[in-house]
Amino acid sequence: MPSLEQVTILHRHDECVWHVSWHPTKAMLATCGSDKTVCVWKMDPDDESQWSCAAILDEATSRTIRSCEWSPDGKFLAAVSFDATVIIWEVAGNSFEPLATLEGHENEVKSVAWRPDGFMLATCSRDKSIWIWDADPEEFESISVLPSHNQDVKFVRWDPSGEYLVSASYDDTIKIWVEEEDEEWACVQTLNGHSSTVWGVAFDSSGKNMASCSDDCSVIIWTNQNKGKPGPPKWTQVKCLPGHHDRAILSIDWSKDGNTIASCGEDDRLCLYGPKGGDTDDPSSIEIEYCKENAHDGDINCVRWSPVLPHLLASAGDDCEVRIWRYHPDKFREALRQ
Amino acid sequence: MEKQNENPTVYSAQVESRSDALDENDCNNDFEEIDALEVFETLRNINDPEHPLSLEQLNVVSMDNIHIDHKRRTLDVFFTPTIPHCSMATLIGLCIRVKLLRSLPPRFKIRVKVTPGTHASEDAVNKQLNDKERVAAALENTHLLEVVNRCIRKTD
Repeated sequence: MPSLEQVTILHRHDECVWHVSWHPTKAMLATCGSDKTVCVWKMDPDDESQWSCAAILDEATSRTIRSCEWSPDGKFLAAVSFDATVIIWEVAGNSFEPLATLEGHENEVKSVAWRPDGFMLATCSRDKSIWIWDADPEEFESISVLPSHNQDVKFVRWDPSGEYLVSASYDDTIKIWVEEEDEEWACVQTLNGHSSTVWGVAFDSSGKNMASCSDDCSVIIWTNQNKGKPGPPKWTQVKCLPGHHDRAILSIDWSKDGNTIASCGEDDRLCLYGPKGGDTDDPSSIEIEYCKENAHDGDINCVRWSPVLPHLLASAGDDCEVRIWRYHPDKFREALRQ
Repeated sequence: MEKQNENPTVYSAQVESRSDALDENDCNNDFEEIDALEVFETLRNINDPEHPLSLEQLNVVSMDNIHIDHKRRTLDVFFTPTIPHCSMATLIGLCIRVKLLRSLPPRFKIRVKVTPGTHASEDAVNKQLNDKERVAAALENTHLLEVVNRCIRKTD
């Protein structure tokens, strides 16, 4: 039987923790929330249950920091705030130097995503737009503004190749964007499948499959039928997984080894899903593997797998806590997958 | 400012007051002990944003529209706008939500919704009121927070 072991609890934030981001190569985390700070955490390399707070970045904004993300090379940290700004720090060892404050959004910025090559940054806001920024450390500059959705844009993420940008919205849809010539961006597909706000999307490592989560309490698995072929992507719904959460699902992530999806939300629950029989090539075989009730003492706003430590994941909650978990998948299933 | 509903119907008190209304120091109350009457006591004196009248007097909140499930630790409150096009509906719902957030033990799961069939934009109002991110952002808006605090100041 699979199980989820709580490794440790990180407590430093005074209010709700909204987001958690793993460092791309090190056992480090950045977390942020309603207390208007970003905390940077470091794991003891000899003991995954020992963490220390390496830095607190608390002078950047006077409002909630909704989300934060390390750049793919770990040299920068971006954070977005309800005060409509995007803040960039340059990382030098344990010190974080404020590098830039990007202004342009009209109101709350909700999410930020670095393109995998690190050259671009996407942000989205309640102002219904997505902004694309040139991530040149000399001069972070706005490249394009996509008046993208009919409502609040909740979340943005790039596919692993960096070819597509995906956005999720309060208008219940997911949109797929590509850069065309002359820095023009086009929406190449709009995915309808959820019946309420889409809070998050995640890709498997191949970029062929995507999972989305929603206020409608379901997770949907999508596959790009045109992956690797010329022409626009053709995402179709291959599976809907309702019934494992009974309140809004706020966050979803797909482990880097491609095997396990994690979701969490307003029902204080962490759920893990994987392909039955271990066949990772068949996304329609994905089903629930494990559910952890009361994983936090309140809503769970974010869940993320470590990109470097297999089976380790972090979650952030309204209980002001960040929790580190180790997932022990079913041994039989695990053996099949390798 | 012109009021949307000039002459609302005013209702008499629905229930006798009980002395155990939740107050903001009561956050550690045991969930099991909270009942619909106690929640109603908490909400009845919220002021309407337009009228010098309480939500109880306007029949916006009522005892039978408060549903508690102790097992699932959920509280669903339905409120009834006085007219179906009331532009104040979201604000009233926000006042109810804020009052509940400040009064109830933290692990309570709260849903605030329009009583079905009583507002023209019922779905839109419900969606906004139950989007935790929007509520959190709204409560960082100083002006809006002042309005909300004014509406709920007589509730303690």
